[in-house]
Amino acid sequence: MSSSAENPTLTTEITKPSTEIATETAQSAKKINLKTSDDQIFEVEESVAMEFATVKSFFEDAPSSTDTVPLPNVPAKPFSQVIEFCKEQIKFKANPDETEKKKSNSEFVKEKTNEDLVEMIPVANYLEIKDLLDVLNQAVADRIQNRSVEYVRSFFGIDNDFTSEEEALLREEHAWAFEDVDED
Amino acid sequence: MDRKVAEEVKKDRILEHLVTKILLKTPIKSILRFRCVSQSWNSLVTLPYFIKEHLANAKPLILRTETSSITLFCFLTALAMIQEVMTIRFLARIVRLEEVKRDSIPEYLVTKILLKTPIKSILRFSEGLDRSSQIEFHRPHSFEIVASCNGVVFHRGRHREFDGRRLILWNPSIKKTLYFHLLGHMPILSTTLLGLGYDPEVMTIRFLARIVRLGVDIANLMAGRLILWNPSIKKTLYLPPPRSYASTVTTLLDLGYDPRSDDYKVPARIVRLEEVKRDRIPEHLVTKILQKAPIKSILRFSEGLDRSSQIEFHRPHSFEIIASCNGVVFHRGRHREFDGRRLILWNPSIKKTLYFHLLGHMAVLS
Repeated sequence: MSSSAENPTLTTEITKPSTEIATETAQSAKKINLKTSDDQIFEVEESVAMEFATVKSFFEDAPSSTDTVPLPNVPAKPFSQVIEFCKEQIKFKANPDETEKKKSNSEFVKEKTNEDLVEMIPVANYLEIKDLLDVLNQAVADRIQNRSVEYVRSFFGIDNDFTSEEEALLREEHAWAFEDVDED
Repeated sequence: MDRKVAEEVKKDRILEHLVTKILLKTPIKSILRFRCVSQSWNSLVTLPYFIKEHLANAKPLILRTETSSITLFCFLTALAMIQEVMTIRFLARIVRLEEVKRDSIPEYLVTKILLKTPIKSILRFSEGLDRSSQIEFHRPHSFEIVASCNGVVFHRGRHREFDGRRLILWNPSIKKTLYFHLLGHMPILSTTLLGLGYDPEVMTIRFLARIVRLGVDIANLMAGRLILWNPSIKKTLYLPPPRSYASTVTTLLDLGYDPRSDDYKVPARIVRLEEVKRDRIPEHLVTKILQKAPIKSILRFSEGLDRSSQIEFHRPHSFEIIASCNGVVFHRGRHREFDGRRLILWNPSIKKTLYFHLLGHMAVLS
């Protein structure tokens, strides 16, 4: 668990809480290094890193194997946003308030671009952050549900592999579902 | 911004199972539209797994009718169940049409699908409607709602144009309708009951539904034979008469589907109320529950009644049976003491009864 291989003793002194997060134990001030796929190293507090189930089980499997955890499927840009989310979440762990949590979650996604969301989803999935994944999936669902087929294709970067006849047939079958769709 | 997304987002950026999770959170209307996105999306949303999950999480729909009648419109209640909810705890999936506005024409009706929720919460109704699609239900008085299951409604036309032989299967959420005809030799009796069953294998977005019909064959009425009809596999079976068939009126038959039956021939769980004693009061009725049995064994009807428990059904004529499914019977009291607003949910096999009341603003139609 120690961030330093030379010093396996757990430090009990707290220098100062770097955020307003309630530090319950000395360990919560510990830092863990996480290396993204594009070789950036993030130093995050242990309490935040433990929100990532993947990282947590990494330490459970090999408690003192390394002091930098590689995250080969995680690019730096979405990862920094994921960290931002998890920091917020931890506040609600100490002090659960569903209304405030919802508000905070919806503010989090509100300011994100479509691209941000699409990039964060696989990261949240890989790191197994269930709450975040739910929030992101709902946000994407909300953004696409009144949109056209073309919009959704471009949202997800999907190529249309229907022939025009096939597509016309499907459209005809559910013609009503194409009414009152938001402008792209 | 979106164009930029298109350029930068690579294919398969979001794995298929993640797409599934996102789509499960969108309303049915969006899903039908998104079938056009790509072939893989189309097959994804037509998977039985997807349909089942989506139905389970679906928000209620708004139904709209053209009728100007203020007081009366159909109040449809039906029970349907799928595997997961068929528990002894007596939870049920309930599909319910409700008049929500009385002041305006057309009236708005709501289909509420509650799953895995306690009965109590049926009353907390108005939140979380699926407003993405509005469903129109024309000339509601021309149709008799015979049964409903998992959001699929089964009608019989009342008017002459439908000649009483045409049956209509309607799925309001995907706005699809299927018509079919009764077999020529099957007369419709007032005692004929029709029901919908649910078969997870055939339940696809393409609107297949398995229908089982029990009818009384008039040609064989003296013999009291019963007909079991499953249009989806085009099979008809004749059942031997109940031991006492003196009163067809009180004979209730209904079918549900038992998913545990490995039999493609379906049904399995049969609830049957039968008059077993002819001497009058009180009448004793028997509930017959056949479970996990292949269709064949339905023919071996008279044997093997569950005699471990006898169920009493007092004053059967005071109750109107509205729907039943998988052994749970849904009544509405006919008598004044029930004032027509009290609904009764009864599971004879576990002898449990639940009562609940209609909301004040919901008018009841006969």
